[in-house]
Amino acid sequence: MIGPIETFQIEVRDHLATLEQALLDLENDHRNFELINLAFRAFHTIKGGAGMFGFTELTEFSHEVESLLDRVRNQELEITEELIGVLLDIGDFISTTLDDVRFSREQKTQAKIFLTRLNLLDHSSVQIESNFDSSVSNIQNNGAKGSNADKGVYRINFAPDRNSFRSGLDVTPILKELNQIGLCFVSTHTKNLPVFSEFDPESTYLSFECLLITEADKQAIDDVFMFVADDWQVLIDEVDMEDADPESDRIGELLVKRGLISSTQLNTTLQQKAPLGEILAKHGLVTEEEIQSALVEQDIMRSIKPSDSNSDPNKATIRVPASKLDSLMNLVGELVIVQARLNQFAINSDNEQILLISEELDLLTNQMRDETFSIRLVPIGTTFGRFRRLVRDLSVELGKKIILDTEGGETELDKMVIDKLSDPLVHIIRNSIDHGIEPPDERLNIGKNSQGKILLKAEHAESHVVITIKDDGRGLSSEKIREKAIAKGIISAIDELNEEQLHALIFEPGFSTAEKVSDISGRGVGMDVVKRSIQELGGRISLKSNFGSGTQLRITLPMTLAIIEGLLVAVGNEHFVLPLNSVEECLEKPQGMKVSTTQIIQVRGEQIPFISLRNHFSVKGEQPTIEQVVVLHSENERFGFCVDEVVGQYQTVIKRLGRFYEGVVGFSGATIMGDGNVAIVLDPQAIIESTII
Amino acid sequence: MQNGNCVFVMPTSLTIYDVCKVFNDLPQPLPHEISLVQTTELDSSGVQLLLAIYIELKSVKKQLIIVEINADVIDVLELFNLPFGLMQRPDCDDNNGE
Repeated sequence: MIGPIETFQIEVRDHLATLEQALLDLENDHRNFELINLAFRAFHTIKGGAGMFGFTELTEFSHEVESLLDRVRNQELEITEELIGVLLDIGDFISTTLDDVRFSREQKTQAKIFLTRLNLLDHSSVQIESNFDSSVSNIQNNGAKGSNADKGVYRINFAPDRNSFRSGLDVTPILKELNQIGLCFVSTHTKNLPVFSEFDPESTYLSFECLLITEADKQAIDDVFMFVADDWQVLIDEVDMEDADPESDRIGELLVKRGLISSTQLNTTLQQKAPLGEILAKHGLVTEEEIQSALVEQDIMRSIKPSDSNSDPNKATIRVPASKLDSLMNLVGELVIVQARLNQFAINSDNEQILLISEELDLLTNQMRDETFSIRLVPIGTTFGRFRRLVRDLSVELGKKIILDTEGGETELDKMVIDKLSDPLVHIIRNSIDHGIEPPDERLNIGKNSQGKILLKAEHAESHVVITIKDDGRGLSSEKIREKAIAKGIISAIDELNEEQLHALIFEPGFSTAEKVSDISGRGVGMDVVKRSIQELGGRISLKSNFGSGTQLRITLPMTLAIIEGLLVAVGNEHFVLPLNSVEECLEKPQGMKVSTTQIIQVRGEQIPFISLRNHFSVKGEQPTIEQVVVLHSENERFGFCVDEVVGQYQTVIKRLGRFYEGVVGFSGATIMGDGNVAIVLDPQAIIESTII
Repeated sequence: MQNGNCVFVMPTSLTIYDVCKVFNDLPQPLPHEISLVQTTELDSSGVQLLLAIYIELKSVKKQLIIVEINADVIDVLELFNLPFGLMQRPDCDDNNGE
């Protein structure tokens, strides 16, 4: 279970991501009110959440930024690229404070610097820094309030006895004490004050309403009123923050809950088409203070209650740690394996009832597996957002004009794949910005638009996801690559390679065509690492480039690393699983063919090379008279694997092989079969690449 | 006490022991600027008096402004979250100890 603080951190990160998106969009659309609102709401919610947990520095800091955005909303301040830059930096800064939300000395200084930067952009708002300074001193004074927690919200109404002051009872110590046990919002009510001529300064007319956010329990609050409880009217209610009713935090409902108006009065007032507070105050049903106080409660409740979408139980979401999902997936994997064993046992048992139960259980297990699998799928768009920022920052740094277009952000992939994909994509995009896209002058000279373009696109293709990264930059120079490859000893001067083969050399370790090493795209050790990372994810990467007009990289990835739809084959006593999406057909191997490392089979006039898995893995045992060749494809290549027997289609959960087998080429995992034996899941492409055909 | 700018300066102590006297000493019409620069003791009866003045002024469409607040009582005023404007003059900064 994720604790409230972790939830807060996760949610702030989500809001920061939304903020970043909104700010980046605002750069191209300065007048988009919705985007300004989105940015404002992000800071507003961060402020509210931070306030709830007593992270006062973050609350105050967000408040200052929110105030500035409010000025933008009110068209008192214009959105400029500079302002967007500062706000983006502020988002980054807040993100760095989340692990320990109590600002360090450096972070306080940093916060002040940001507010000064904002000040400079908004000459009229001279108050900003000074407000934060005073709030910092308040925070230091209130340091004892604590920041951790399972906090509750209490509504405390109390009205001192009319003779309280005369009896020497003062409200101040009570309020101070409440402030010591939590974050207290006080509303001082004056509705019982008589007209001035009848005012008796020694009588007590004031009443109070406090909203207290505290870790303390109700008993601790009762204790504050211990000595006055008998004479004063004291009412302490815990506010139900789990209340799923979306209407419950509306002003009218809050006033009814406080007993200030009746439901009938509320309904009658609501029928009049005017602001509720205004009508109620006008009719003397509630005072302005009472409305203000209800507004404070509304503000607090809205900032800490789940959003509207979460209020609908059907749309409610919960957050769980990724490790729990991994664990669930693992258990489901085990269940699938046990189910496979049961299936096999049921078939062999010839017992109809067991067979029936096994079939029903098999159906449920498959549904459970698919549901669990789908939980791990997340839209790749969450990662795309990061790249927009990357492109923006690097293009500014390099003085280039570059726009990033994204398509297919809704395409879903296993979260683990997305996480591991992030670094390779960063490297590819950095390369495009640094080496691919030309500076604006150069682009204009060769008749291109001064603004370069990078396209990041994701789409489904069969059971795979294809990610395309395409730029309209200068493309790869085959001549340069060849020269470099010869100089680096990767190829010899007499090697004849076509353009595609030359381009593929950039994936060789240590290869770099950059004239000088830059901080942006590294030291030429990147693309081989990129290729390896993609292969580790069970994917492939290919490249197409036209000199002068751009480069396109295509990454093909499996949707998940957890489940494989495979073809089970047997060689001797060993079993192997081949990815079904690569399998084209199975043929009987013509008899009388020579035994060698690689051989050729004729398939409808086409010659297809194949290797014998028996030879490749040195499997012992007698070779059958009739063997099978499984024809597979990868990109445009076709090749075959010769096996003893094709067992059949096999969907299973892949188990990682562990560190010991990490460097073994050609294995992407293993699975346990119904009879308890292990079958190795093969990576056909890697086997072919490691074998000279 | 009242200076030339119609600012009423509250005494050092504005507690249950003083409010009756202060109430009786208030000039008429009520001042809409009150200084708490000398006030070092303030309790809820003092706050109530300030609120009574605020409401009375509001009924004649005037606004009460508290100017020059002594640092010793600023916390009390903040505690009550009062509706009227708290305006500190720059020369009070030292007094506030901030």
